[in-house]
Amino acid sequence: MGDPELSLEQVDALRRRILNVVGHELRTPITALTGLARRLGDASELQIRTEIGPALVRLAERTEALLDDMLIASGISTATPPEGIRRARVSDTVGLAWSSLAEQTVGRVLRFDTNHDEPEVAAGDESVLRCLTHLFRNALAYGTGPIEVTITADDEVVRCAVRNEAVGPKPDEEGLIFEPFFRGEHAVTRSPGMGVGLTVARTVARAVGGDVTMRRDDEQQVVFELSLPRA
Amino acid sequence: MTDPTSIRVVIADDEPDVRLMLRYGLEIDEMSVVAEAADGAEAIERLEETGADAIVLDLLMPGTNGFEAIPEIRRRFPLVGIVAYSAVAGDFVRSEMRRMEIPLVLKQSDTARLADALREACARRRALHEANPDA
Repeated sequence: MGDPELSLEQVDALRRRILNVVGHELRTPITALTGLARRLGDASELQIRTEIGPALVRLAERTEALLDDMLIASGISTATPPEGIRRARVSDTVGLAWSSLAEQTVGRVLRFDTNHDEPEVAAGDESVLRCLTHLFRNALAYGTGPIEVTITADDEVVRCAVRNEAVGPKPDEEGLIFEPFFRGEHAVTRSPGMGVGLTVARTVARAVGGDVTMRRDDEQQVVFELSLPRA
Repeated sequence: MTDPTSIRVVIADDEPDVRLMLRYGLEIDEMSVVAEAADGAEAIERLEETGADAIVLDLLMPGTNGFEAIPEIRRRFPLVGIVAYSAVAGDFVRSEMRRMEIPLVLKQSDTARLADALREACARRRALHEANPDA
């Protein structure tokens, strides 16, 4: 994407691929949401209160988040959280981002030293939460083992590194991982996803003067780093 | 009370809310959901434990996905009716399901079509087995 020399055929193929991916991702929660809504007339109060009601809320929120992600990844800036003059501490948001992923974190371990006193960043809770949630989701989907979070700061920037054992992208894929709707070959048959999580994290971070980057550590494990300007 | 003659089904999908929706929907369609699984390997265990008649099998799952589970299910449980249930019905998925002779139902909120596919899949497996009991 972004290649000025794409032919009309290539553009059309890209459009179809994107619509296919988006359609697939939206179909699952919308199908479940509608199917459960159909059952409201027959269900008992207990079933509604304990199962159907909470599931409907989860599915509706998920659909809303998918829509926001799709718009942000497509460069529609109106979907990026408005900031104004806001401050947040990254360490305060780590636990919230992890717990928001609920079922996906079952059986997985987050290693994070909660005794942090790093400076606030020039971004709001919502932006930091969105970035971290996508980085964690990515780590959970494509890696194994514990996920390690490390926060450091210098005079200008606060950095949050997310590391886990992962195959990681192939060398010829590394330049594409932040492209919207791109998913590596390993990912396509194993897990759902639109391929926009890293795009969204980076877009939201850059909107507040920060960034999301990928590197490999000394052990060649993948590390994604969220960097945000200090408040 | 569950009708003892109703088809006993295992639901295999990595999405808990999809499993919930299917459980409610299939029971309205007079099926008995006897177990749930979040991936293909778990689905095979549940079939072993329950002796179910049929399975609704999502194709795209982490761990052992649906494509990988189908041959094992066919080998170990030849009488079980398998219906592939997917949000994706592209060329590859359609051709693979045709090759494996597995009915494919696109994910949708109305489970009546899925229930019909399960009944038909069970009937076909029984007919095949009666025609070739040693296969």
